[in-house]
Amino acid sequence: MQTVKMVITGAVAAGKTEFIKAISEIDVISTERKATDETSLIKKETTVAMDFGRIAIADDLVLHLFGTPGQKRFDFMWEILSEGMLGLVVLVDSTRPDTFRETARIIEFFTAYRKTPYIIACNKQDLENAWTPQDIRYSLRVPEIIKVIPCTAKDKEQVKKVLLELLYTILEDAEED
Amino acid sequence: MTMGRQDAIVDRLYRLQQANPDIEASALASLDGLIMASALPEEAEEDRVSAMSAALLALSQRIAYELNRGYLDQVFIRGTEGDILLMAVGSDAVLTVMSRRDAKLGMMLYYMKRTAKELIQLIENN
Repeated sequence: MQTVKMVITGAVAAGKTEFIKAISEIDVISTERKATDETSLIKKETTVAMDFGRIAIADDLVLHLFGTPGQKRFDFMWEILSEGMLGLVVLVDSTRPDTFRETARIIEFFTAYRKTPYIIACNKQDLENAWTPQDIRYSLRVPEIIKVIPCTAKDKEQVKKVLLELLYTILEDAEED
Repeated sequence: MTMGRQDAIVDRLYRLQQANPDIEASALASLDGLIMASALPEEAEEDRVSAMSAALLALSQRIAYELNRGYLDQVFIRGTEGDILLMAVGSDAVLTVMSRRDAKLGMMLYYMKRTAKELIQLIENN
């Protein structure tokens, strides 16, 4: 049995908890608490430690999904959760361009110290005012080699597609090395 | 938060430390990790300490629930140079205290519980 650790990150209210809840086959371990900062303008509750979910992709392959808090003050959790990860999903709220700069900072945080395979999933594509993945790519200025794909985090099939894309990216990177 | 209320909370934290000299520092944070008041040493970054307190308490509450231990009341951390204790303050906040090495745990818990009770009133009465 092979276990692959993936971390799901992104700015506040990008949809990280929803993403993991959509696909996990176990009860997701969540740590949501009432938001009392500016987060409360967007949503009632926010993750303060982590989410944990699990999904078997094949008989011999299990993904462990760790979701991070979004706020910078929890960056110690970003460090702790990224221990031993094989790949990273960066979720973006496609309808809130004001979060793109913070998203770029989060990518920098996770990739600055070691080479980490990652993909960018542009969430909330079902909403009318969503930016296209192509426009988000330009805005975040990510290298051409990085995959930027559309997604709706509440849709299990789409979440699965994102995770498989990341899995392929991890395998491609492993072959190159 | 009005100044009066915050001053009252800080005052309560200092009185806790005076009542029990084993307690070297203390802080009160909201459950989503924002500092409400602190009496911490200068080198401690209160924003980080309060975020860590909230994360620890949340994860501890989750494992207590997972293993059928009911509602979580306290988290106890022992380091070689002293202890750290976290205590839930009602349903809105967490009290974190640091002690010197060889502190008397029973006394610390006694004073913390008393302080937590008073803090609940201070938080909720405003």
